[in-house]
Amino acid sequence: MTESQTSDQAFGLESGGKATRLATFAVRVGVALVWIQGAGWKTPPNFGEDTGSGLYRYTHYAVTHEVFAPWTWFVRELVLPNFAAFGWLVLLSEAALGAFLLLGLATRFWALVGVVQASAIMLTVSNAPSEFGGTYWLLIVANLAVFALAAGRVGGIDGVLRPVWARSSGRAAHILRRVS
Amino acid sequence: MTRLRRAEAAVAAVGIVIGICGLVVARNLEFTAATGGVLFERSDDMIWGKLFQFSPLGAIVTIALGALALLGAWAGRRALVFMAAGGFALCAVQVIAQFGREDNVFGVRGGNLSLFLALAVGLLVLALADVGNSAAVEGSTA
Repeated sequence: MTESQTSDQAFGLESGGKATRLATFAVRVGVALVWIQGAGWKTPPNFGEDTGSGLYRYTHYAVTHEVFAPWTWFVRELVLPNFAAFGWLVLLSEAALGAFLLLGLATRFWALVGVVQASAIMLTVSNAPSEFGGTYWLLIVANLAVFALAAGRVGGIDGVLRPVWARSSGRAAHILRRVS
Repeated sequence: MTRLRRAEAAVAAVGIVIGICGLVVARNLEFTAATGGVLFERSDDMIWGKLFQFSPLGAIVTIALGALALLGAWAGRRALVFMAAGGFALCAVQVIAQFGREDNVFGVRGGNLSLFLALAVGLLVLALADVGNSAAVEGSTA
């Protein structure tokens, strides 16, 4: 038995049966689709800064509907004055989150990135009008579940390539095994 | 067909299926419409309730590149898979360069950046692993 097989069993993915594997796959793809939808409406080049709409409007809620004072200061002093760069960072982050979680490649790393991103969104818009703060708790927890389940090993590229990476002595293969 | 090639075929099939769905929703639009037809549009028109968006041209390019990758996976021609991965990478660059502008000839939105990135990276890493695997097999039989 390889080390890779042993660690997969430790996560219960092999012993859990079809239902567990199907649910694990569904959680990963479902979370990926949430991030893909999120990337969809961040429209460059201004990201709504010129019209006070879109990403700019939602980011501005961190100042007008404060959730956590240090975060409000960070958004007011650093994010809003450099909004175009911030917009691109958000668009590329969420697009990459959607892409890698959809593929199931380096899944555990990207799930942690998702936790960080969802936390930032929660700190920004939880107190905004018509927002339910629990939504972002759920998104954080869903990304944590993808991390905990190592969900890319079920129906994902991690599951296909981990045996290949296990046979390789290269540094990249070692890192990819750690983050999958 | 090896496990790696089956995975390449599966990634290619995702591109083809989404491209065909895109072509169906964009069938009545101009060939290079800047605002494409939306897949899975929600009735309440919330800005985040949408996934992918295509003009007929964007959908056809997605289908063609997916078909190229599928052919490469099926025939064991890695060069075709690499070409398809490169094509999808260029599509991702197109999204970055033209999304939100009037010359958005593929009619895409940000979600398409995820899709094209997934197809490009997925095909690339699988084809590279296939190259490494073949080299290892040749090395062990030499």
